Amino acid sequence: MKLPEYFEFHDRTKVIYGQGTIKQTGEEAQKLAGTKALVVTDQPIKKLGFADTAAASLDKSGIETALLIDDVPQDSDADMINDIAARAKAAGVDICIAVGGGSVIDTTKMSNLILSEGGDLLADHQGTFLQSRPLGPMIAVPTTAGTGSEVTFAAVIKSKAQNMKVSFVSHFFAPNTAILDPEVTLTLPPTLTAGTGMDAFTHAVESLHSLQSQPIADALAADAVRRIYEYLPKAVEDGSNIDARGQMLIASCIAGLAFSNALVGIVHGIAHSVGAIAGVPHGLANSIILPYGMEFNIDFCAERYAIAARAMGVPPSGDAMRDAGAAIDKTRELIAAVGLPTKLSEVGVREDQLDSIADLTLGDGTVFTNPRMVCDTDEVLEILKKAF
Amino acid sequence: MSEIFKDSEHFYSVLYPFFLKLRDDPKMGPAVFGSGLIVRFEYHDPEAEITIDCPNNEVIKGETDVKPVLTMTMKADVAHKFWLGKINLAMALVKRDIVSKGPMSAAMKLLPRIKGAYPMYNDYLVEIGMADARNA
Ligand SMILES: [Fe+2]
Repeated sequence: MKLPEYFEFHDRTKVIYGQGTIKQTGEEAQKLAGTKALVVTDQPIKKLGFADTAAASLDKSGIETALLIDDVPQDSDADMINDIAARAKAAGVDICIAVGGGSVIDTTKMSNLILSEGGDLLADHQGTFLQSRPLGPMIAVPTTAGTGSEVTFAAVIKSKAQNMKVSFVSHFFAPNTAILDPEVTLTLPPTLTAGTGMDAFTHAVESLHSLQSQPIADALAADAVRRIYEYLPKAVEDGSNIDARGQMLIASCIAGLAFSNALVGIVHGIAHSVGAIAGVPHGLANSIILPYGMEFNIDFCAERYAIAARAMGVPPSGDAMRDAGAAIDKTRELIAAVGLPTKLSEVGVREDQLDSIADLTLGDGTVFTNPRMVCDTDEVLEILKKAF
Repeated sequence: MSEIFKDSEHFYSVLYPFFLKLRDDPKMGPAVFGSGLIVRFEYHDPEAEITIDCPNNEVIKGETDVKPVLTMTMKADVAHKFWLGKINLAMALVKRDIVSKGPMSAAMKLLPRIKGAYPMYNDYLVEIGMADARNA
């Protein structure tokens, strides 16, 4: 396989894994010289008591929870982030702690950006790799195994004004520390486990087919594909299977490192648009689009999908196209095994929304690194119609 | 130090007419200016600034009060290589060789349209007697 002419691999995050490690939040915050914390979470996680566990751990290490935000919605809006940052500043916050899924972690990342650098999120910070210096310290405790946001450089935020999701990217957005505690994912219901897990799977597959793919990310992505293919069905079937939960947390973190460096492609582009226009959750949208996206791309990256096929136990046939086809079959088997729907029409997307979904997708940065060049809406519609 | 451009004046003398050529080209003009964006290109080494005001079909040389939707900052030599089609854009963004400020969706609207201009810039360099600069 041809080596890229040039690549960089970045990883800014210290990763801690272990049962009960959420109780180390205080210790880790202390190592980052925190004294006053912003703790961000959402209502379900708050009710489960995990935000309190983290706050108690902070308290034990002499760190005050100066501001608790416990009502982060599924898609945070930019105004909310500006507001959190202003309140955090007034409270003298010097460390940010996220306890939650992707939305909570992304909200915390962007609140940390505004707290550290000031300005208005949309007016002053939109762009790619604009940020040129480290932000204040941040710790992430993911409560879902999917986004990998605890190690990634990106945050996706909703812009109500533009009615779209806006992504922010910088190596400096990655948290300093990620605490992977499988115990906090035990109560995640099967559908959410399946959806978030398929998001991680999509990160891994898209890292492999991305035009920005590279050997280190490839190795990580292949490992993530292997773990998810084996353990996601187990975690969905029996949520209390701590081993499967741990494997999934590790896999989504690994996939996060992979795609943060290799970037993603059109599957994510469509998923972002389907999310913005029809409100379909990110992981579910990815899961539906992934096999169709792979079929759309197969002629341009068969060798890359063959890597995924091998990771899912398909012996190499000597014919990359055949192996790539097997990777798509295995992907469909996985989706069936975790019981997710396979068509957009099953999740509330209306046919009359497909045109605007296609339009929005063309403006999504992910399209740029898709292995097959996508220039007009008809090409996106081709995928959407098949997936409808 | 730029390998291609002696100073700002030299840079403007090459790039400004090229932007005008782009605007007036029957294919590229509508493609790029049809985006309806206002984009500022900020160059350094040497310092220069060119703004394309698509809604007004104008190319503005130097500082202006026109407020851009998108600002792309890069070294003059990076711009030169960009127009030659020799820049891997995704990697240039990661390395901060090109810093794009403003909505990503706007950048995405513009960049695929610009690709058609690469051969134009190649030919243009030959036309103005800078054929050697194509090997930069
Ligand atoms: Fe994702």
